Amino acid sequence: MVDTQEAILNRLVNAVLSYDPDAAVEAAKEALNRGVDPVKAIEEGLAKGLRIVGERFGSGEAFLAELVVAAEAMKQALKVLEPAISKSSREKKTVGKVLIGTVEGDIHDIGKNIVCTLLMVAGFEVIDLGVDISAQKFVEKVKEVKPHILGLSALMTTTMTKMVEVIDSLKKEGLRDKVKIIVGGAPTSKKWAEEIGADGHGADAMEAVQVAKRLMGHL
Amino acid sequence: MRLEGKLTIFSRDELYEIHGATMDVLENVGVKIFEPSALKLVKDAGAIVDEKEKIARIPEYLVREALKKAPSRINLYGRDGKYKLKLGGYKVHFSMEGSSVFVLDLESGERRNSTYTDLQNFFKLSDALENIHHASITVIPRDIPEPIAHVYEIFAGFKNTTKTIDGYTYGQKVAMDTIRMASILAGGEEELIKRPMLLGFHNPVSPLQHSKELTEGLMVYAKYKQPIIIAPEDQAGATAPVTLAGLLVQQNAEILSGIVIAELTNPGAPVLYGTVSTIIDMKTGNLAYGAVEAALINVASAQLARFYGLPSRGTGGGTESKVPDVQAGLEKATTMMMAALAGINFIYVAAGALESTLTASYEQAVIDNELCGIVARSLRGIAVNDETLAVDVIKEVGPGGHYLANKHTLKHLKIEHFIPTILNRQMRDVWEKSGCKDLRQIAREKAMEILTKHQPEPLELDIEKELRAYIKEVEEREKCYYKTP
Repeated sequence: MVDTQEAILNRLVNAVLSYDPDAAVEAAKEALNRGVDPVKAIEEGLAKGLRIVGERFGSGEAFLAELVVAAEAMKQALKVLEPAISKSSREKKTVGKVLIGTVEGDIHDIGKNIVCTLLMVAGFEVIDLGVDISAQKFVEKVKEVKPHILGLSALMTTTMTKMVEVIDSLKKEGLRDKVKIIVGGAPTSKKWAEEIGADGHGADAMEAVQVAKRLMGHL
Repeated sequence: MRLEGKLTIFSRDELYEIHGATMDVLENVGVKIFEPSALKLVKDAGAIVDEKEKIARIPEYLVREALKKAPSRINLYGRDGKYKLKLGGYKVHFSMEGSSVFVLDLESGERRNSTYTDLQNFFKLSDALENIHHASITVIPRDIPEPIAHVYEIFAGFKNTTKTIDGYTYGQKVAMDTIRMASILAGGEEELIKRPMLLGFHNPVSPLQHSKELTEGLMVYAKYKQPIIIAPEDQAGATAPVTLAGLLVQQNAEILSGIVIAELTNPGAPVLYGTVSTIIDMKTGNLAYGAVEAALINVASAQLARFYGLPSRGTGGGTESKVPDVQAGLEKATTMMMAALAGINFIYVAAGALESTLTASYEQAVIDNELCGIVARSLRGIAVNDETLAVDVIKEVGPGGHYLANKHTLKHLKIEHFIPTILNRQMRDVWEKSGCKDLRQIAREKAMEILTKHQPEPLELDIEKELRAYIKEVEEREKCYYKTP
């Protein structure tokens, strides 16, 4: 049994390391069939593999597309494993919860998607609202999911001002001090983040993760 | 479609005009051949020779016969016989700088005389840099007495890299020493002939002369079928006509007469159609290797080489700049890209040269390695087929999706994209945080890292012993020693 468990955990790690979502799903099913604890399968299998890919990306050995596919492999395998986790142990041990979206009027999302992937690799729980999200929607969702961090993305100089609107709305609802805010996207800068009263700025996806960790007190 | 050889400069008619003009020069002006046995060879074959002036007027049929004998493709092997360069066709290779006499010190950045340690270091660097195909004798070790320097140069090459290396052809005795050393590695002279391991150099002295020493070297390498580059260094406006077409005619006469000597010495001798030609700078009288005219001469030479069915050797990556700076970057990028697009098979001096090749630089070599990678990527062009047109993938992703998580992306990214090793593509804030390093600084750090960490494949001990014994023999013969015997 110990051998089997070890072998399945290795299969999960390797599926992520070889950027193979299908293999990850197969290994996840196998894990459940053989009675491996799903939490263990996630933490010592999938997440471990993703952490290794994340480290390789950080050191320049792995490429962005590889990292994204590795994360995709984990996501798909999670769909198999998560329903099997008992309610009590469903309180996942995450680094923090991040709510993220592209602001209203802007449908650019590739940068935000990359940030989501890297946050996930770093152990964050990420709730991605998608693109063209109004200030009101952000506020509703902050109330609902109670994230530690809110991430706002904008690619254009014309839409970056929407970030101000989101922050103002949060203030009006008395939610501003309940959540840390990170902004990002090509036209934004550290200076811009300070001007609009955000808590942090990520010049690129890697930095966004560092800032998120710092805001969570993990750095 | 791939891009090498796509850049051409002459029509078929223009090639024939250059050929015709060259034959006129060879038959009516002739070339001066300082080596008596070579002069006799061409005379016996039918050239009209003026013994007193040492001038041979070479009829066209001798050139045509020689071209018939010269191979269109040449293999050059590394010391283990596994690493191999195939020179010919359209394939482009890059080599490290050759024969500099100064080095930019990696620590101080100051220019100083090059040493044996530098030579070993550059071989190591060539071994490690992924876009450099051939390890040249990058610097002359000026701490070793000249009569024995060549045996140390060959030894350092074979010891520090499994890639192909330069031979040394300055004089009969020197060339034979290199043949003997390479034979030790090949397992005998017969084996060396079958598996050539030395790349020789014959540089005609413009205008229209073949020096005694290099012609001797040419004949030795021809005899042992080691590939030899015949590369004149015509200087437009000084040792050649100021017009580039005129320069090409004279250069062609110099190369073709060299090939006649090589093929008369040994039919089938592997030769490369070469050029180191460029203009002189009319403001200073200095050579200009980084000049765009040098690039044009390379494009023309690549085409002429193919016209004659010969592998080519050119230059790219030359610069007059004294330091790795913006001038170096733009001169190198221009000359390298054009030579490569023209399909020069062997671009010598592609990496590490500064100051008209007088100075070699470690950090420049690392920067140029990156440039070679960029150029190599451009040569691969854009492949068009069902797989690369990716219509199925576009359908799968659809409007508003993304391609980062697609298998197609993963499968092709490393081939489709050049992945830089030292170019900075970070956002400004991140770049500032990591110390605002410029390319030279990053390259210097990488060069230092390679020199500390890179371990070339060790040479077999008994072979090393035999090579060392040969060096000792040469030292005794020349009564000249590098270190106290």
